[in-house]
Amino acid sequence: MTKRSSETANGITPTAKNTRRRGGTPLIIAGSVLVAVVLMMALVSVVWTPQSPTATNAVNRLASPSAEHWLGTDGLGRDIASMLLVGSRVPLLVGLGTVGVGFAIGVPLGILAAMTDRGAGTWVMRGNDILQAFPALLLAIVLAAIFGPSTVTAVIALGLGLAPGVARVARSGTLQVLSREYALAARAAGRGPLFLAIRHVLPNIRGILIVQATVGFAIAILAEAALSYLGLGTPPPAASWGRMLQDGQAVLHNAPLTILWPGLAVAVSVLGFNLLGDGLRDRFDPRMEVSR
Amino acid sequence: MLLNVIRRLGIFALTVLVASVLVFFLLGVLPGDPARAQLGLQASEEQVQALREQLGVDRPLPVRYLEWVTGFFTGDMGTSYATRSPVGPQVLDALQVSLLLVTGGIVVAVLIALPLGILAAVRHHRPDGMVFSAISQLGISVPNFLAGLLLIAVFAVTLSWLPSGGWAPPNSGIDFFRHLALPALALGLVNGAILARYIRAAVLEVMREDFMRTARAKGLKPGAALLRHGLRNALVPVVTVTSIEFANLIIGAVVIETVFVIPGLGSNLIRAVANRDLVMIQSIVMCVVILVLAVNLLVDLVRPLIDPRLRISS
Amino acid sequence: MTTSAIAPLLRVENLSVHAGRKQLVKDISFDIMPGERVGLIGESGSGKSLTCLSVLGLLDQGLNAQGRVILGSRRAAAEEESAESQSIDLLSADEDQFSKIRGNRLSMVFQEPMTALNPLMKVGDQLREVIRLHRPRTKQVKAEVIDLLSSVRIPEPARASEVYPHQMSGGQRQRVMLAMAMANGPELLVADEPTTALDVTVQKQVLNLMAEQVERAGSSLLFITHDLGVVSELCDRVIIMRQGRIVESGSIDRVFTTPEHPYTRALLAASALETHPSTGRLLTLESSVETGATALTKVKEAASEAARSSTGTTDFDMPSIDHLADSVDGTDLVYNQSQNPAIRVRDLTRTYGKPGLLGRGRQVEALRGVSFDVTAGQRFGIVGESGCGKSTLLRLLTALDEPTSGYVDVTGERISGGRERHLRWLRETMQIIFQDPMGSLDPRMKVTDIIAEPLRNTDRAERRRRVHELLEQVGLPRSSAEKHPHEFSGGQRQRIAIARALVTKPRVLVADEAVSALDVSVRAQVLNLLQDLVDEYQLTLVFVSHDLNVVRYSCDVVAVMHNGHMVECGHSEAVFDSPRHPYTADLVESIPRLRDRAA
Repeated sequence: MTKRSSETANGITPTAKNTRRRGGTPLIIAGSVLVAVVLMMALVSVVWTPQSPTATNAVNRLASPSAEHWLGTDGLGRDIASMLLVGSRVPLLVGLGTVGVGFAIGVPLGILAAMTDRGAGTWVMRGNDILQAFPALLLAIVLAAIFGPSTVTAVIALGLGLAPGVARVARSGTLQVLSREYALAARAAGRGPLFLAIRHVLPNIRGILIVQATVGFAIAILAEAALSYLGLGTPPPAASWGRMLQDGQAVLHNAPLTILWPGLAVAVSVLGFNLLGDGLRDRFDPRMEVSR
Repeated sequence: MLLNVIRRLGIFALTVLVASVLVFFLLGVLPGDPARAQLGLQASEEQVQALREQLGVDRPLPVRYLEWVTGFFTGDMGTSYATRSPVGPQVLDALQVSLLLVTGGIVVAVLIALPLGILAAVRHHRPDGMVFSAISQLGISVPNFLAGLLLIAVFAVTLSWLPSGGWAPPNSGIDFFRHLALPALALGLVNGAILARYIRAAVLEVMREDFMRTARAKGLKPGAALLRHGLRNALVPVVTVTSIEFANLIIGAVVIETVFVIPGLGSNLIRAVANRDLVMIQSIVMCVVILVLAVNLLVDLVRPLIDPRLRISS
Repeated sequence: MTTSAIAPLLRVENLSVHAGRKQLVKDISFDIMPGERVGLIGESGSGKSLTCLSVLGLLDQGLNAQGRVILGSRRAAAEEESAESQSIDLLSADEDQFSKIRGNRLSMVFQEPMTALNPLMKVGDQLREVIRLHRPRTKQVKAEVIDLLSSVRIPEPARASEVYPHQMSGGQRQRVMLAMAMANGPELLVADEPTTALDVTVQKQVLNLMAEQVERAGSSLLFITHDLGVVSELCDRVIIMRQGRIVESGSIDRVFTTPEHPYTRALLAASALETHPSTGRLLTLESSVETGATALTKVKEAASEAARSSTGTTDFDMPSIDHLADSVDGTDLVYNQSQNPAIRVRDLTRTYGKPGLLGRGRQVEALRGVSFDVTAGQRFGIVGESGCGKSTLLRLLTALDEPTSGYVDVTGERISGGRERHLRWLRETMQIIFQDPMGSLDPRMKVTDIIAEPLRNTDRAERRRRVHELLEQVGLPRSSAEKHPHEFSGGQRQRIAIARALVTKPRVLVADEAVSALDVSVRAQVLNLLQDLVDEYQLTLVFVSHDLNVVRYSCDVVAVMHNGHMVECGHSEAVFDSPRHPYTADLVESIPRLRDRAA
């Protein structure tokens, strides 16, 4: 964590040079490597898996690692390594979808709320506050109850759950930009709100939005795992880490290690996105607010 | 001061009201006809109509909403579609259990987060400070139900020190704590790690403040300056995020209850979802939402006590 | 210690401060005698603040001080052989030693009064802490706290000790800081730009208090500032720093009357806004360092320029400016009235906030009925302290805000109450230069896009041509167009801002504290540039500032604002030389002046 030295240097002399310093690089590298590993797993699983991830084998249950089954088999005799590879697809898809939905709703609303601070803006934020009383996971459970568990309901619910946080961050970033004199200068130059939003606001809040996106990705993976564990995520036969953990719990007394691999997979991918987010935050602005 | 409390209470009541409308329409209108859903496609129109009348879903929506809301707040939450037994007592029992679990989780989280966050900040440029940071970084990457499973694997399965699940009421003494320990730990570990990161950031921020330099210029040593001036100031932003953090913890409890088979709101909710028991789901979701809003309210009321700048001067 | 009769209180020997490999303070040495008041002067980046932080051992992590900083033995109690009374090298002192010295023998007042006090602790408790810390056996601390507060002239000291810092004004907070620093009668008070963030009238009060307190306690003073005027009123001796080195030091009288180093001469000239004898242009760092032949060519150049600008100013009649002053608040005069003004403002009011339920809502009357005209080609200055309403007035003049009542006409057309799309002509006619050269340029935009932002319906080649033309006019190379703002210094950024303001060839230019954030030497250059361009474009200039000297130099007519009213207006010289309103008199009186060097 060499970023600290650059931070203290910034505390002394906030000169032009320091505002563009390059912090957080080791974190970004570490995070990118972990995310890349998960991405590779998903890509590889599309074309190849060591065994069939769905084929059960009543004889060869809870087998130890072998040449045939690299990580052994689960309670139904399925190949853990193959399930692990295939199971990476759903979290990544859900993460992508969640961030997409959350940003498509949150960013425009947040910028709108900031730019029309009186009237419409306050109402947007009031609505936001009420939505925040429905945490993403609760929303996902409710939607699963109404429409039945599926990847799409999970994505919509988690995206809706992410949106208020994104809107809040986008709003505070926009307010910050609008308080700067260059925003006033643009207005004095006769530029309308749309120009302001596209040319000044978006480029300047891009950094915090990227950080928010990586954090959103991490949250989505965690939530997807929880939903699958509860049986409210992507339905079988598609493999997912969350359900592997659920299956693992059933045989926990006989084979405590069956939860190790899917658990590790979830933790590593979440850690990857978190590290990436932290590194990017250090690079863009060590003091900025991120909503979890 | 009093005015502020009244204002906050008013906002709380309004938000609860809006939330109740949302919950009602989400679960009372969107899913379609509960009678048809329950009887299946083969049932005749007369049968369905009879059940509709029995369930009261044939009357206009506003009437049903008013009935549900008044019922909810008087404890008469209706009859479960699935078990045909009154929902109210079940939900209240479950709420009690969940509250105990959440409280345990919060205690664990705070006990972990305070020292971890402060140490990570104070020693941020030393190796041990980085270790503390790394611990909390790892902590937030583990979903709480996984933490629960790992705790079961270690303390229940391998060491057999504690039960792997189930619940004992508070009046059962030591047994209560034996059953509470692992789930509260699972909840508190993960949320404590998240809280620790906020505390670390807040303390780091406060150490850069001008008044900390003033404190040193007065002749306070660094430790004393942090203790007397820094920590309380760091608490201000931390308390603000606790409203979101504790809300997360409440939702986390829903999953943890399933892991440890605890008869709280969460496990009841999951069972109700499996049975498509909408009356039950409605009541539990409303309970959870009120709980989250109550935490927000509490945090809003506590903040002015810590920060005089938030007190409305009259 | 040497055998000399008086040993120095503080001896700095070969002090260097490094940040990594970069040397920020370069091997400086100086002494401070007991009871002496020393001013440490320098522009930003001169290392003056780092020097004083090294003395107190409060350098940030990552900074490393070398050399020796000797604090002499305690004067009165030399026979007391306790550790804290002996002379000590502060650079090698540990936290234990420092904790006995700081706040006791050495104390400090910082620049930002708004953030230097703990916001969560009552003012009285913060004072009590510093007394208890160093004199734990003190009885009746409460009475002493109240005494301290009244000694820095805080009204109702008993009540004041029970309030939180945010309930006090900036000036009051700085007085509390002073009281805190003086609580234990320190031998040396270090003050780092303590009045920079304050209004001039408040600055005057705080400086007087500081002089009084230091005198009474017999303390020495190390006063760090960029403002030569402040130093000349307070200190015996000055040390001038530039880029980490001491360029000159000596008694105030000697340095300010016969400066030896060219930089000192330039700094003095720039601070006093001295003008070139024949051109009337401000002396800048370069022009006053230059000697002989180059100066001569400058003079010739400038003479022709002066001729040009004088033809520019004779286009309209100047002498008929009424010097008016508000006698009673409430009767609103129309200032600087004229027939066909470029800007006409009548009964302008602006109230912020809404009347709440039962009339409990908070309302702030930022502007309470202001009427004046600005004739075409006039350079109209508006001065006032923070909260006087000048920023609000500026936003209304530029149609960035709507008045509560009253109106603004620009070149005969109403701009108040107009919709934005009907104001397009105004956005070309009127342009603004803002205060903060960091904040007024979008960091993500290229300079060319920044300058061309006000241009509409212009093709690419034309935009390019205009941008290049303007870069040249503001004295920046063409290559600047493809760079981003962070690659420029503060003065250069302000040049870019000026270029942007002129790209539409406006008729009215509004400058909001346009040089307040700049170092004095850069300030002179930017003011010169601004004057040249005002002449060249024949602009009507509205110049808003808190700095009376700058307004006096750059404007023909000046209006003084106070509490949302305009209290006086007239010819610049007339207003400053014979102010009619008591507030103006107070304001003029408060300007820290360099000692009269002619005497």
